[in-house]
Amino acid sequence: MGGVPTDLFDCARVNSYLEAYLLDRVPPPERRGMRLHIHRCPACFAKVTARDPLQLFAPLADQKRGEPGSGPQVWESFWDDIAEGVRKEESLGAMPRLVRWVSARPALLAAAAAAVIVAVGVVWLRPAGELRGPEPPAIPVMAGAGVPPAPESGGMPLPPVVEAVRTPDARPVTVYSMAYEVPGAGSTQAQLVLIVDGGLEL
Amino acid sequence: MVDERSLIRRAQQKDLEAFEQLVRLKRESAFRVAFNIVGDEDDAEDIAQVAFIKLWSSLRQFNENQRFDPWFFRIVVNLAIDHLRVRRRGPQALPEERQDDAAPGAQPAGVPSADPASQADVELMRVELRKVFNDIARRLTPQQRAAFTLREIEGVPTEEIARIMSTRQSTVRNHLMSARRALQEELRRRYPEYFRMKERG
Repeated sequence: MGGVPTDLFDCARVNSYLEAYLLDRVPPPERRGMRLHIHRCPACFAKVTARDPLQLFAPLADQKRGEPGSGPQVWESFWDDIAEGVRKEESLGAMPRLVRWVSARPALLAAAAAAVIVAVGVVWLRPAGELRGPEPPAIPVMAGAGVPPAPESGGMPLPPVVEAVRTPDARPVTVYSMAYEVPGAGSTQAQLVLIVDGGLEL
Repeated sequence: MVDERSLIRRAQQKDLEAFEQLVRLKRESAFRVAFNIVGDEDDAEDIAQVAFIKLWSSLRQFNENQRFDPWFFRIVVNLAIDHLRVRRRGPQALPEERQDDAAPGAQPAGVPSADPASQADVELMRVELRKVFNDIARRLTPQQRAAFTLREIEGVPTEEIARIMSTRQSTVRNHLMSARRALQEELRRRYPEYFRMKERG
């Protein structure tokens, strides 16, 4: 990797730096020069590997692809495959990001398609009635309901209760509930209940 | 002589011809690093190709003030480590028993003789060394193998390896130490002739 200085080291110089070389204390540029000499000099190579047998593998840095004598034809289709990959990348690059992301994950695409098919199948096969929830309980009609006590009768309105709820078929509604205590009638209450579509504000 | 900087600059502008030249310039080292980590030629070729395709799409992020090789080798090394991890999750191949039966006292394969070696001898020596390395490096974890390849074969400084592997220098040193210990043990067990040479030395 990178430019390698040549002819900077001879056997004597390698010898004098050998200890530092084996202890990994030679700075990178000089180290590259030393390696170059060591890989080409049988005497220095023998000395180095005698001290550290794993230095045996350092000459693998000079290996070329293929068997000896196989030549540059080992690279014949190398570029063609890269060019093909680059073309694919370029066509993907022209797509919107989400499409690109999904296209690069065919398994995800297949899973999503399967999920959609299953969901459509379930909805289509179920009888329409089953989609509706149970009927909500009927609101009891109390005696005197719908007749708010006249102010002169001394009726005491309690604070109104407002609840936002959803019907079983998921429609939002607002329930306004207001109770009145009727004086002199024990615990008798009159209750006013209004169920209003969620879109309306009262 | 091809000017690497200008090729990179042109490739950043999506010049495919410049990119092809850049691939020619870097393919040997990309293949070699991948091969020394994964130990299989076909896999190493695939990894190198994928690394170049990734390089094409990320080259715009490369800053001219950085050194190109460590930046690019980060892609290669990470792909190789991932590949080795996935492969090891599958059925593990046992280390092959060595094929040659070195005679006691014979010159170990892969060590140059004192005679001036021909180019063919040097290449054969590397092929032999490659086999030995591949044989004994199966014991290493992907990270140990990557750290050893970068440090002891490619000669990359520890600091740069830490950047390539996105880890701390102390972690790299630990990987290196464990790798060296495991490789020495395996070399001693399977290829003792290299240690006889050490004793003689």
